[in-house]
Amino acid sequence: MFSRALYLVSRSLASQLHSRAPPDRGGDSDSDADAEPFNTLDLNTATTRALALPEILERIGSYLDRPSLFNGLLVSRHFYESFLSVLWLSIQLRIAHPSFPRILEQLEKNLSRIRDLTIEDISTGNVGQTDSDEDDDEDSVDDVGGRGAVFRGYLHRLRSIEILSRNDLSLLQCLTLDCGFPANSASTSVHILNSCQGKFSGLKHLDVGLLSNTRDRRYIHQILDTYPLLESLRVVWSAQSPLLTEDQGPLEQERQHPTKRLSLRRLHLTGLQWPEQEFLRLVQQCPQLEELTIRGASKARWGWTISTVDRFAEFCPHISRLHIDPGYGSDFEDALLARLLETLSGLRSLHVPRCDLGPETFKVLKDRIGQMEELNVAFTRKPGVDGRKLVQLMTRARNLRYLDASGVSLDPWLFYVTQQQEEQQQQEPGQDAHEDIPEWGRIRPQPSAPVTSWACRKLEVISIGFATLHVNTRQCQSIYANLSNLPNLRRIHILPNHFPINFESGLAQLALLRRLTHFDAHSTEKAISEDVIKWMGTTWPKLQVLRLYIDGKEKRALVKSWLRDVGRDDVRVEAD
Amino acid sequence: MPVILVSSDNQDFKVDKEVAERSILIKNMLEDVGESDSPIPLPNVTAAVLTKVIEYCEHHRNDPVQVPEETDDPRKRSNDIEEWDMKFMQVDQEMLFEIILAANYLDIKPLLDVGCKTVANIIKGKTPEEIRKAFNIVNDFTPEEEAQIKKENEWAEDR
Repeated sequence: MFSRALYLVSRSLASQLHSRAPPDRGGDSDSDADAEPFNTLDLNTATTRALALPEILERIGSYLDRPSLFNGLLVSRHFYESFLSVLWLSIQLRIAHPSFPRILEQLEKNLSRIRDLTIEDISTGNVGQTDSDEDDDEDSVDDVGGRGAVFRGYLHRLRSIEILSRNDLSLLQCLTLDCGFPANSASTSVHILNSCQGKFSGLKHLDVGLLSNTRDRRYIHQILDTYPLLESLRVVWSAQSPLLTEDQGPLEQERQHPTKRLSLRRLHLTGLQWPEQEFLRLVQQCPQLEELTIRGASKARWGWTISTVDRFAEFCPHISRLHIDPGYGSDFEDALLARLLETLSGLRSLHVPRCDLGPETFKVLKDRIGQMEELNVAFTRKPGVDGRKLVQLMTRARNLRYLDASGVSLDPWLFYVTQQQEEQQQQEPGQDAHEDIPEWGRIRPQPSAPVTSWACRKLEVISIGFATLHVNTRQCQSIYANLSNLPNLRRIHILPNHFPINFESGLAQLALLRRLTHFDAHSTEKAISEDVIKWMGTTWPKLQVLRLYIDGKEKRALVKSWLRDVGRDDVRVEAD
Repeated sequence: MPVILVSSDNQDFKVDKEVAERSILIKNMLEDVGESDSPIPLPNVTAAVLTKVIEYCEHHRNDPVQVPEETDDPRKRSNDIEEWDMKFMQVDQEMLFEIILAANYLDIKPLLDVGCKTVANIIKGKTPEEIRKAFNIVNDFTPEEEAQIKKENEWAEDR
């Protein structure tokens, strides 16, 4: 092999030198080779030295997509070795996909390279739900669609589980099991975890999507027992699956000293409700928890009390990110939210959509908003006056990067008041034009009270909705003015009914938002003009996605053509 | 508090300690050496390259120090390069790789990442032969080996 390499090198050298030799020179190639210096292939260049280091080549490879890695594999042996490691670092096995057999062939010998494995199995659905368009063709002889696909998927699933269960998987760090379709009792996720019990001993991140055949909370404890190095765990229970095993009740022999899961930092549980005792039993074991997400089933009874929150804060003092979504129609009161904010001193990110955000929480938020980086109060069930308080919070939210207040009915006049107060501070207080302002809109802070514009200049994502059905031009001017003061905005989502997106209402002020990648105003129910689209395309260099009210495919094609006219073919246009 | 760095070709560079400490290697050296004012020799870095590296560290002196565990997660890797960094990296290929080598030696991860992203952008969309030409690499595969590699890895070709 070594001599073959030498042969190839010398052959390639010779061919390069030949091409440089002047045409009238005769003689054999050897004398030519001696005459020319070998500086065309100087092996001491920085390029060669850098690319010779595997750690550098692997780092470069980590920024390449699969097709580029594939091309890179063929460059040279050294590239092949480095890029192959990168290629196999993170793998998605899509069991129902037609290309699956090809990767399955290579799987076993490359298993030890994999650090991040995702297994997607949507083949557990009913007949006709996979790649078949011929559901009505019952007499189809060839098994291309329908049952054929399901059977193939079944075989592939078995084969992959067989390969996994007989190999050493201790180097795997991240495992995502996405069984996709919840209806079947033979859940791939559970099947894999049971077959490979203990094999994933090095696992740090486990994501079990759509666990469908058990609602037993003890399963969580079982997982945590089996994978002691786990740093993050996400489990999503399907809401639709028939209950095959229900909760078996409290654990046998209440443990005096529950096991401490010292590595666990992030816990994400969706689809089950967690009554007080179950919840506390779980979090008591996770003293290093930093991030907790609980998304409950709709209309569930939580039954938490202030004491639940106090004990939670005592068990998990390091919580910095909290996401509680009780689901529609469930109970999670204002007092509980307020208490969470009071007791969790390290809290930086609070997502509490559909919770009862009320006066008590606002009182605490007033003091805490300054350290918050993320706030999600979407679809909170007590709108109205809270909208005003929310806007006032923004004057103190100097660290906020993410705000989702969609569904909170913000009074657009609040923005108007803010801006008008600023203008008044600069000029002499003159006569206000009262005729356009409704009665309740005239209630505003005294001119002597200091009014600052929104302090959340770090804001990157904003999602807002407005109380009134129509936001008029003058209101819009100040809303846009406020938004234009936020130079770091990357994503804007607006959820009103009639929100003008045109130059008369001050859209041009948003020209300052050079980092904008997403503009989403799809529910504005008003078609947007060509000028505006072209302006957006030219003014926002980083724009990636436009989500607008566009009726029909032809209109969407038209919008895309306007964007193409200004050289912005790369912008994705989404419509409802 | 200034620190003196000496390039391989014996040129002195006076930089603020805060700027120099963007290099973890230098940071550790300074901690070991303590209060001493003696210049720090960098035998692997020439003056031309050190100038560029210092320029980068000056511009990014106020960036938050990256937490190692966050940046090592392969799924979180972003391919974006800031505008300033993009202009900074508009140098000839030799200098690009000199910067990468220096960032690797001096342990300046953000600079190493920017350099590697830049090289990745050069590789993207190129055939194997074009990549070889770009970096002066010899093809040491036989045609049979090439065919086998293509076959084994075709699952990666268009995903």
